[in-house]
Amino acid sequence: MNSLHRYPSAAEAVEAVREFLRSDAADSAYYARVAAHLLGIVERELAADRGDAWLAERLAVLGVDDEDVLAAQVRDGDWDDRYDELVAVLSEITDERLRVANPRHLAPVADDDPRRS
Amino acid sequence: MPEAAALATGLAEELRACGRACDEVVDLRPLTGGSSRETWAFTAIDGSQRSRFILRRDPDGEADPVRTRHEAIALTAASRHGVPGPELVSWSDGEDRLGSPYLLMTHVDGEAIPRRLLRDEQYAAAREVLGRQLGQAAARVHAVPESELDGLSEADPLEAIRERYDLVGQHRPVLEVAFRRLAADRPPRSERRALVHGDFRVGNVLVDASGLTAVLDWELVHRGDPLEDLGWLCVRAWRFGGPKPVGGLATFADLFDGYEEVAGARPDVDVVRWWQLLGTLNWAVICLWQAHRHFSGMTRSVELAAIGRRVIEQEHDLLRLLGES
Repeated sequence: MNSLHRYPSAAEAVEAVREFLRSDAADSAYYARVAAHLLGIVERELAADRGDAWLAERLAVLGVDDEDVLAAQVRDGDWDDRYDELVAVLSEITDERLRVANPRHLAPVADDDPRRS
Repeated sequence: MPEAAALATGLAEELRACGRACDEVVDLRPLTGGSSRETWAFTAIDGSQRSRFILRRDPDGEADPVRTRHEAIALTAASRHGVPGPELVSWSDGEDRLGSPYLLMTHVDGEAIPRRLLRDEQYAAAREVLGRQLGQAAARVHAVPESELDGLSEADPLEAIRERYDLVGQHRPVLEVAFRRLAADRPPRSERRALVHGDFRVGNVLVDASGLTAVLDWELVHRGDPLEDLGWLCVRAWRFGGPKPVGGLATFADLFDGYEEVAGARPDVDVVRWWQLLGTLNWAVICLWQAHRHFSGMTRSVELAAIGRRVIEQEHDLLRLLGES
């Protein structure tokens, strides 16, 4: 499957919000914030330049045309010898997804490696 | 609320059956806490005495007797060995006493909400000591003798996560990379199959102005490598935006110092690292699973749907952690 933002898709996210607005939970301030957060993700996705075609291009760099196939190859160990090449592309894709899902999470974090404590 | 009235009567009877004087149960109210259990707070009146209690009970039709039994074993053993927390007053894995399996325990004062603990001025002094106290508490959990853990089960952690991932059926290359690396770098099996809390983190402990008052939420307790708890505590998701690696509010040095004070030895940091990585993968798969609960129709909730996109944060963190090793 090749969907840049995939799970849930924008349509699934909007459906979940619509369902919420018609439910008994609709007067909950907490769930309203969650729903607004989800719509914020959809808003960024709609405004983004990159989409499924961009994902297909990145996958093509690795010689695959389907993300599920790539996942199966990794599971089978097919990428063990080309790990750096794989991870470089996966990082690009993940960063693009994160710019939509939660751009604040892209901020650098302080050292959190216990081996350097 | 006739159901609550019946519950209040049942609780008063249960307290008396446990040898605690109780004229009447008052102030019975449900607490929100976002778990898979109902949680109720109430006060028992005995003459002029008032005592507060907490009831955690499986929702009607969702009885999980094994989980309740495991939690009761753990809570009893941990309390006996100095882990701060509530006293277990009574429990049942049956449905005959309070309708479904439950744990009835004393109330402990303290705040659980991570954002308050991380930011409110009143917890400034607690933040200074909490890292060390969490280390001490974890070491006390892990020091419970194996002879007291009969009935607790152990599962292969990677296989358990894989099983849930396969159940959701999403195929994600980053998670597959993490599965492979974790399998390849697996630390030697620890000799001790210790009591592992299983969800040891900020959010599942109570803290007052002076520090840690209780370790709660033993639902995922099991036997295994004790350093699982330390790795999980250091997963980024449990920092709630705080800057420091341990729960957002403490350093590794604080945590490991406290651990060493009780355990007598410093934890193996390479093993903690492996569990930190595994914890991040585990949380990614739990996020997928929560969204799956919504989209499969198990439990429709906008909150569960929204958690689906949090998988990407974990994938980002996994790539970062893998890049450092």
